[in-house]
Amino acid sequence: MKTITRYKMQQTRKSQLTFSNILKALLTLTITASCLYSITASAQETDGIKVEVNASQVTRFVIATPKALNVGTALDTIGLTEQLGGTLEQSLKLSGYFDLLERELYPADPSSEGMSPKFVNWFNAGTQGLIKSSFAIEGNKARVTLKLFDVDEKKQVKLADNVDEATSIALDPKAIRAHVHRFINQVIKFYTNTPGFFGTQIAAVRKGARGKSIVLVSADGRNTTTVVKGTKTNLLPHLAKGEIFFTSYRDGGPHLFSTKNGKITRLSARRGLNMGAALSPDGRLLVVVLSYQGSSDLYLLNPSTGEILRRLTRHKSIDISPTWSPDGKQIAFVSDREGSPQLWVMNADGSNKRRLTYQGKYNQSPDWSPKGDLIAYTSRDENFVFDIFTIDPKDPTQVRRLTQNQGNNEEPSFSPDGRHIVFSSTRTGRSELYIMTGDGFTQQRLTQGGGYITPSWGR
Amino acid sequence: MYNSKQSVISPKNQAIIITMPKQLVVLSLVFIFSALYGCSSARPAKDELTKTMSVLESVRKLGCAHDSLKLAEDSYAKAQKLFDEKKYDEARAQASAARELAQEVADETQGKPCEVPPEPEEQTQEVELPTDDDAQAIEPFESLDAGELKTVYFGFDASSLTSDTIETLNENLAWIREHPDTDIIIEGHCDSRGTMEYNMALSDRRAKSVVGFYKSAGVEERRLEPVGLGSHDPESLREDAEGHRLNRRVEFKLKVNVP
Repeated sequence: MKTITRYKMQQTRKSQLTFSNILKALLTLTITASCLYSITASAQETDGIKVEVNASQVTRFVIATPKALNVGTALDTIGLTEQLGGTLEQSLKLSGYFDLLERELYPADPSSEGMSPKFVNWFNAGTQGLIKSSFAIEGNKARVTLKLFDVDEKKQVKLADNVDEATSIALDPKAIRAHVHRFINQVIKFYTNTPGFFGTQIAAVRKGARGKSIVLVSADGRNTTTVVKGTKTNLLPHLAKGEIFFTSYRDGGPHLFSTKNGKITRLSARRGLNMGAALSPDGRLLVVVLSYQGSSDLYLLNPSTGEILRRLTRHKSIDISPTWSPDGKQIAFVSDREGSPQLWVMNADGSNKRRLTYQGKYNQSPDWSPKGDLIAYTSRDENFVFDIFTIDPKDPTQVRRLTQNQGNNEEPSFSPDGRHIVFSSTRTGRSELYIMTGDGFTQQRLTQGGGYITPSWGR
Repeated sequence: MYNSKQSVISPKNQAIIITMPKQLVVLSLVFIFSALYGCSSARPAKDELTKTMSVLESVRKLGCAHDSLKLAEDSYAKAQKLFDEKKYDEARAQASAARELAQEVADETQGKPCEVPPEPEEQTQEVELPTDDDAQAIEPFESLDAGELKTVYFGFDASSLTSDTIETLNENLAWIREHPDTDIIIEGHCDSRGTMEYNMALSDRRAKSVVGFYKSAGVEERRLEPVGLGSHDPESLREDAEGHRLNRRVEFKLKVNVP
């Protein structure tokens, strides 16, 4: 496989790092080890030290993004160079598929080669990919060119959708970011066969001084808009097909609403709980939690009228947190019918209920991957610490831990392609949203300012 | 809790493989010890705690029931505990996080007390749909304080009524019977140590269990409105056993329908 060859090359080149860089890496490691984490380092081999923090599951590619070139006549007085560079770097990092080549290893004066790289210099610097960018400011627009080069193959990679053609963009940070994201999505497609997640949105709750609001966060975390203002408590958003289903106390009890294009519709205001909505993949059914018959049970509603179509569970226990399998044939949910809250699965008509999780005493908030292979969920340990796990619904012995020793980590939600997970974490002291690759390998903070909980990645 | 079948992946599991000559081992040990030594002083931690306390005090005066303030208080308490345990670095980091949170409240409130005019109404249009079972649909309502009715408390993850709870519920029953023209909101609450949905379901179950008690005592069910509030409206902001106990409760409010 091409990717495996690349990865091996990356490893070989890393072993050729210069003395000063090894020293730098060592210094970073010692500081990290002594002040932040305890890292178990194993010393072996006869002719050197091998420091292995952990084994990798995801292939990552080394990529370089030298400073954008101003090829026009107008001076860059608006910081376009930094905007392009910053967005490229941030989105490459956030994707989890790339290691950015350290600036110290760049060839001397990369701008001298213009947009035609001297591949041998970049090869020796240790990068596999190279993104070159240039711009010319023309009035209130910029003509931006972004190009991806395969250093191993010594050639430019032609990307789909003409994202690497010169493009005229309004001098608006949002428009510039959007263009870079379209480009990066194709770069990710080149390396992984599937485009990146940039351009998608995540609904979440943001806690403020006077209430809880429903917000939309762009998948790069740079843009948050309030959809339902938190004058009352608004909770548990579920973003599907451009509509946000949410629970709100805006008219008294916990009732179910949906919002689309600035219009709020009350879907279910039955006695007791109305919450936990999840739209079926075909958009025709809404599974919700209602308690008007006594206990919390799962029901299927018509997603546009709120009419009950079928009752799915009928048990005095707590049945909550439904999530659809991508084929729409099954629903995973949480039930404490056998004593503690655990993940269960049933057919979408309510038949054939079977328990999925047996490890731990508090397993909650499942989200079924759109790829179908995994269900991510939150588990609480005996010290009341929450962490994120995945389980294989076809082989429930395959349980995997994705977070550990980093505050509370809760409410996982898969990206539309099932390759990433957004979740909330208190690892910095505040509750923020983070994105990780599906195996937990790379975890990056998305939001700033705190108060973000219960994310739902739109699909 | 989890058996060996699970593969445990560290969140910082970057594959870093560096090969280097042996003499660097000595150098690295020197770095480790110097870094460790530099990290273990009490003084910066104490200073950070003092600074944090002064910010906290300035914010407390404003009387805000602010989520960040609650987090800041918790964080400060943890920092104090870590300091007492002589874990100075962790204490300093924790105190610094607490100060940041408290500062956030200070910035947001700009020193003004929290009783501020309500935000303008949302610019959204609201549509109410007919439901299949209109008898089940509830008219919008608000709650008023019902000072005469006493709060009852529950065990961890429990919604069953103890003999103490029943005694209090019986005291309330007299008042409820004497005021037949009132409707009562039965508000269920949880401590903070659960997921949002589970807490809402558990608080709903607590409310339902009290509704069931009054129903069997002959109170008309239509007068009783169960509302599960999860852990959104805590009675105590303390994250200790006593704080948790106070939050696992059912409160009583008077129901007022709004047009």
